[in-house]
Amino acid sequence: MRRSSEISMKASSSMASEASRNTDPGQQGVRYNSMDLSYFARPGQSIPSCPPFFAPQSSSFCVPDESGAKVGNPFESDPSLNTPISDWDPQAILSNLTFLEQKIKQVKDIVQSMSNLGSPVVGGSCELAAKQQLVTADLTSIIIQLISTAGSMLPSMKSPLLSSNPAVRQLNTYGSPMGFGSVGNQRPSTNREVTVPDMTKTSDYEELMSTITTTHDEKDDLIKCPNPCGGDGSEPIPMEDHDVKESDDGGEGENLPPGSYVVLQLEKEEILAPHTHFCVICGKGFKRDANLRMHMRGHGDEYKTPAALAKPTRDSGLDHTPVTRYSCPFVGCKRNKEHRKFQPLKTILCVKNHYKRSHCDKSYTCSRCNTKKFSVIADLKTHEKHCGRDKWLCSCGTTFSRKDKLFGHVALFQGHTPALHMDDIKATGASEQPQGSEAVMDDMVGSAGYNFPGSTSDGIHNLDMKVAEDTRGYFSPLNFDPCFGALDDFTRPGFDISEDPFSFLPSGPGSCSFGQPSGES
Amino acid sequence: MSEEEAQRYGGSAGGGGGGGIGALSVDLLGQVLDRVPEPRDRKACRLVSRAFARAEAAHRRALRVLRREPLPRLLRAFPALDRLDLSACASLDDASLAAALAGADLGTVRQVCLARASGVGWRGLDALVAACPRLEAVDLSHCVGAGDREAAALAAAAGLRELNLEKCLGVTDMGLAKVAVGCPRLQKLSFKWCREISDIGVDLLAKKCRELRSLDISYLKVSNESLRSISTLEKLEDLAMVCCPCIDDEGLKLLSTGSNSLQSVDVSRCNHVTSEGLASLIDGHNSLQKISAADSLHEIGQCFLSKLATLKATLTVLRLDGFEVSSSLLSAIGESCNNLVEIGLSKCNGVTDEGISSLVVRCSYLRTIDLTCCNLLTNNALESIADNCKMLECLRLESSTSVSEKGLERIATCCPNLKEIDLTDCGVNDAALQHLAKCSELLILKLGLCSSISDKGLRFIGSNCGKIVELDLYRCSSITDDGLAALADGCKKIKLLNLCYCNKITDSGLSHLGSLEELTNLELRCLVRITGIGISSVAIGCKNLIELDLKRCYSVDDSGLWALARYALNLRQLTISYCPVTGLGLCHLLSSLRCLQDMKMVHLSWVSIEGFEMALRAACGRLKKLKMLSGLKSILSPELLQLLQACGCRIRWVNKPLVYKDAI
Repeated sequence: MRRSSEISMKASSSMASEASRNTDPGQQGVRYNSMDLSYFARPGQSIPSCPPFFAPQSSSFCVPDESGAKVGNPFESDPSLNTPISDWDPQAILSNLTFLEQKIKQVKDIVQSMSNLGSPVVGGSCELAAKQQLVTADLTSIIIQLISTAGSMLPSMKSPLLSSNPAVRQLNTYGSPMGFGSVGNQRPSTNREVTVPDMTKTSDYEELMSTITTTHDEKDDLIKCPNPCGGDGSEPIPMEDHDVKESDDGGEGENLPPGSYVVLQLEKEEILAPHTHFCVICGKGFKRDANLRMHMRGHGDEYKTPAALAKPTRDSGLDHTPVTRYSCPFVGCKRNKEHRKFQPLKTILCVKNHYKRSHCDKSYTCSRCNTKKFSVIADLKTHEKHCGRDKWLCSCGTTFSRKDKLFGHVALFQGHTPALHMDDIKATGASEQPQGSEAVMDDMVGSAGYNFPGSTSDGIHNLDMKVAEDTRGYFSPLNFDPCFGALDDFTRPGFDISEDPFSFLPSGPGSCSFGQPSGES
Repeated sequence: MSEEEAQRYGGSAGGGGGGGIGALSVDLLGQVLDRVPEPRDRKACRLVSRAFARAEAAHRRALRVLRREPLPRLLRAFPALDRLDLSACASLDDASLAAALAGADLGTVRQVCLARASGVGWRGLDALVAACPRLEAVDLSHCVGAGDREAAALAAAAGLRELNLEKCLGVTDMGLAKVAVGCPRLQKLSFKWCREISDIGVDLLAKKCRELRSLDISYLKVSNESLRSISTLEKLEDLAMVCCPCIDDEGLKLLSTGSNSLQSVDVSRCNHVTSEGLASLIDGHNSLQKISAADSLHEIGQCFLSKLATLKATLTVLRLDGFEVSSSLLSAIGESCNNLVEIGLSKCNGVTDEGISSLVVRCSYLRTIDLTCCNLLTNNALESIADNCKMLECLRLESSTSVSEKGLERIATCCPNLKEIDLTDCGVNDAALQHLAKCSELLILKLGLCSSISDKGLRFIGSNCGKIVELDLYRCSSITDDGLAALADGCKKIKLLNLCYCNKITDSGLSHLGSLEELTNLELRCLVRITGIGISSVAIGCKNLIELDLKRCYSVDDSGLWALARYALNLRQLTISYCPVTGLGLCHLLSSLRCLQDMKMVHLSWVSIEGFEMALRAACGRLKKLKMLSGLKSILSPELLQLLQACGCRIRWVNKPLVYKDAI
């Protein structure tokens, strides 16, 4: 089973498979393998190691170093390295050391080949850079492996040593700035290794769910690597990422100098793909990774372990990765990178919302008013919450859900005045009618009527500012987002869009078949 | 002079016929009439001369209508009206107002008063605004039913400069926004007590009505944000914010950043305002003339005092009621504010003779001194006031039990301009009145609870104070009919008279009161000896009687009500609680008095349910306020109560046991 997955991996990176093969002798077991598999399946889906997915679309994307992450994987994903805390196994250590030896030899080979190449070749510089990164990644993993091996020899000290040792932290972060363009790769493989010891104290099911259900966590997911399974069940405490927290509408107010960030541009199909997470066994698609993990439980006990259910940890080295911003694929849009005053979008979520709102049909119609249409279903839901309750009416016909908005509008436009509610007037008018039944009264009502929309010249005069037009402003992302950000309701439809950033990946056969072998075994 | 003139012209017109008056042009006669201030005198002219009647019709500027029936005719008769007062117009409603306006030319009307005209709603106001194209001022105060639609109707009057919406309880931000947008030239606006109005309404007002000079936001729940908006009004001179609990020093600081235009500020009963806030306000507005801080500051800080000194030249009115005030503080105020014309120190603790003398020594221009409930004061204080404030016009000394005739003598001799003095509960005697009688300018005299005052004292007053307008003799129980005779003989101008609990007064005393033609308010509570005979002599004599209190007059029966029903045609408020009247009398009264709007009838044990039903049905459209026993609420037919409410009548249900108090 493991082999088969590795074979498929080979297509993308022989280095990775080689490395994983190297680990095999040391630690085996079904559990390890299955988890490992899930690791591989995920990055395989999303990481642009397969050029057809990514390379042509996003030119600024640095593909080559997929392997770096892969190399790391065998170490970190190997729970047996760390789990036997109490029984100190010389055999295991020995195998670790053997592996390290081999690893060092590999690195040596690569460096050797680099020096040999000397590189008058045309594509050489690129290859050289890739190799350099490989070397760095390998060295990092070697160091990590060393430390963890040393740590396993000191069971009692292990946890504090690893988590508090600044050197280790530095190592953690070290892996990240290696220029992986992909968000997914920004997650250094070393990280999980370091946090492993904490696994014991967290990640039972409730805790997992509770952390998942907060908005914050959900948003964290967005910028997380596409490899969210974090099988080792490391601590689910999310890393604070203020960049993401600030606003959902990405980069409205931020003034990043051009070039200080990496620009990603996703294709339309990717943006509009409904599902982002796919079961490697049955191929079912999910919008949220958490749901997929819940689903996976049905496929066997190996998916029920706390480690398998745990929320993947965040990347601690994120701060050092290049800032990534997104471009809208719609040419001519201000959010498109070709635009002269290009304003990048901050997150994948922003891309999705922006694209749907600005460049898609508004296919969701409010069932209450039958006039307002939305392209983002969350917008519709939000609107429906307030629809019919827009009781603040201006003489120009514009309605507002809040009095202060109406008053701001009235203050802004000369001649506009708040209109009193029609039904109020009608109701009381009707009740008063019998009393003032004289002709004079009727005359009065006719001539000096009220300023409600359409009934007076004033109202008609200003009708050029139509309801529909104003609602656009009113429901513009700017106004909408603050309330959106305040959500913490897991079931809220707003989360339909707050999925894993790599939801754009087409649910093509490639990614599915990727996981198939494991399912067969 | 006016009376003479009128009589002369009237006489000649009546007697001579063709020659005299008729020869003068209408314009000239109009000029003459303009110089006749008293309405009664003008009426006399009108009645005796057709020429004057024509001149009056052509020139009359102001009209106050008391009944709705003649309204259409009156509006047509006076085409040059400037001010129209409908506040006392009984049973005025939308339909009658609209009908009256329909046939009239009101092109000249600029001011309309509809205070307490609760029957008028937005339809009537619509008609009014449409009929009066030059409308500049509207008073809609105390129309408690008025709301946004009424405000919206008024907002159609684009030229409006003054608007009073006090206690229009239904007005919200929307109504205010309507007015703000519709009447951009507003200069004076009051929406006191409109508790629905919030910061955003005030903010819009400040943005739209840039001409505002006077603004009253008292009793509103607005916060400092409102003051931030208000501070942008560059012409604001007068700002009242009594009892705004959400306003504090921060707000006053914001206010001080505005233009330096404020002349008068009232922060009374704003509990969160301290003297530091006021000090910062003075910083920004250094031409303040009036500061009212009654019952708001907890203590007067040094910063405030030093800032007061910067207002030395301008400050004329300072009201600091309800403080802890020391002598040194008063002397400091005296030093910094030499030009004070009015000082209010009512209910201040620690006001002593020394304090007052050190204050008045510096402030010789004081005309009004309010020392209500400063009960440490003695004659020494009065003497120093008398010696220093020669221009004193108003002195309030309620509950100053230590003052006596000696001090008052000094006041009376040194302050010849005294117009108002309040000696309620000061225990003064006839000798004091003898001295006070020297003040021939006296208009208001309050002697409540001074039980040692007797007929002798009233004779002094009656003989010398012919101008008195208001006299309060509450619980001066030694007064008898003779005293009233002397009073009625000398003080013909009395309008308000309180004789409650002076229970030696009998019908003959009331017959003397019948000669007071100006009398409008008469309180006769608990005069157990008076009967219907006395009431009828008052009703016949006092044609202008508007308010009458007969509570606990246990001898007044139906005959009194009949007399009222027949003669007191202008009566608007009547209290007959505890009187032994029957349903028949009540019915007759309520069906006859067309101006009656406010009725208090608690514990009318002789009136049957049918009597109440009939009487209330008879007066249904006119009553605005009712006070009745809560037991009746369930007994009276609900349909009647609905009808009353639909006509704008508010019923106050009281629940108290029936207790007869014979003696005091």
